[in-house]
Formats: sequence, structure tokens, C-alpha cells
Amino acid sequence: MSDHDFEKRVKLKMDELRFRPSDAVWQGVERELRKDKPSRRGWLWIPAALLLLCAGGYYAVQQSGDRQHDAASATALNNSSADGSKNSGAVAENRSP
Amino acid sequence: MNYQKLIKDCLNGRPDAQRQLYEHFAEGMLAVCYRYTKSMTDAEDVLQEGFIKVFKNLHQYKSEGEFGGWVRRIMVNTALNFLKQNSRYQSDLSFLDNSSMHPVTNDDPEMRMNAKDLAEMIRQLPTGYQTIFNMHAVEGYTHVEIGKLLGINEGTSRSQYSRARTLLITWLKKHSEESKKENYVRP
Repeated sequence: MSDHDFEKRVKLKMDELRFRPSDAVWQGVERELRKDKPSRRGWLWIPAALLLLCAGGYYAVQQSGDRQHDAASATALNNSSADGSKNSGAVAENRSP
Repeated sequence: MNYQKLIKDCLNGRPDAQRQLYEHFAEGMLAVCYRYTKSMTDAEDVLQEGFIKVFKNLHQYKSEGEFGGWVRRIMVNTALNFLKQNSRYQSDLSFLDNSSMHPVTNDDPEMRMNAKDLAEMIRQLPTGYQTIFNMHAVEGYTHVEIGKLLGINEGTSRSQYSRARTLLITWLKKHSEESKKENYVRP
């Protein structure tokens, strides 16, 4: 027999060999895999922050708009009250015989 | 097994696929790690580190060779690094080649033992012999490749291998003779 036959027989036998690893091996592998995996929750803060910014901006704009509207309304009311009092005087004059 | 789909699922981070890949190769790869080390604890350490490397480098697998062979090469490389870095093995990992002559034997002993017993016998070899014998006889590395991986020259690998082989054959012959004696003794 040639030298290689010995190696072939050794290889054949060694290829049959199997051992069941303990659970700790997979647990260690898994722990390392989860450590490297980026947390999906971590990325949520970006759209959440953008949403808050937009909401805040919209609210600020709305508030600003409301204040301008209130100011304009107040001015219009003052003007209309002044006109109304002149008119009421004239009517009174007309009523008296 | 459809490795392509399994690899794709693993790369997509599917935990069930990763577990399936591990379960498929774990027992055979632990046997590989066991052959290179001197204890099951060390073998499991190498196995764990090896699988972490498999998953971290899975994107580099190019389908150019058998996937099982790719996994096995990672395990062997991990085992070699473990031996080099572990103080328990460093002193015994000697590749000194004191002479250009090395023993040659044409004996072809019987191998009347199971795989585990043969592995135990290989593991009894000094670490340097054990490593080179595993790499050449079982993994099929050439002496040129072994030289590059271990940082020794080809001639040293050949002579170390020859010594390992001769020693192993001597033990196998002795084991075979003892087995025969036991058979004669039994009524």
C-alpha cells in the first residue's frame, strides 16, 4: 500500500467524528451577533424628532397667525365702535320732532 | 441543503437562519477544533470564536468553493491563532528542525479503533506534530501552505510531519498488537 493510503484512512475516520457542543457556545455566538446588530429602535429618534420639530413649528406659526388675527380683529372692532356712536347720535336727532 | 438561501437569510440578520447554519455545522466543526487542541473546553472556545468569524465574514463568501470547506478553513485558522496566542500551547508549539534527515516508515498499520480513539491518539502528539499532522493528513494542506500559515519553511513542515506520522504509526501498531493479545487471552 502507498503512503497515501494511511492518510486516506486517517482522513476518512476523522471526517466521521462529531461532538455536540454545549449550549454555552451558541449563546456566546448569539450574544456577539446581537451586539453588532444596530438597534432598530435607535433610528426611530430621528423621524420622531423631525415630527416634533414640524409640529412645534406648525403650532408656532398658528399661534403667530392667531395673534395677528386677534390684533386685526381688535383694531376693526375699535373702528366700528367709534363709527357706531356717531351714527347713533344722528338717529337720535332725527327721531325728535 | 440550499446554502445560498440560508446564507442570504443569515446576511439579512434572520436569527432562525443563523441558528440553522450553526446547527448544521457545529458538531463537525467541534470535531475539527477538538483535533487541534488539548481539551474540550479549548475546542469549544475555538468553535465559538470560529463561528463568530463565519457570521462576521459571511458577506465575503463568493460561492467559489464548497461552503462547508470555507467554514472549515475559518475554523482551522481560528484554531491556529488560538494555539499561537495561548500560553498553554506556545511552549509546545515548537517547529525546530534539528536535522535534515527525518524518519520514514513504510509500515501500514491496522486502524482497529473508532474515530474518537484515533483522534485521542493524534491529540497525544506534541502540539507541533499534532498541528502539522492534522493540517496535512486530514485537512489536506500542502507543506508549502502549512509553511506559510505557520511561518516555517516547507522542509520543516515535511520533517515534522514525517516524525508525527512515524510516531503515530508506532502507537497504532502497539495498539493493534495489544488488541490482538486481548483477543488471544479471552477464552
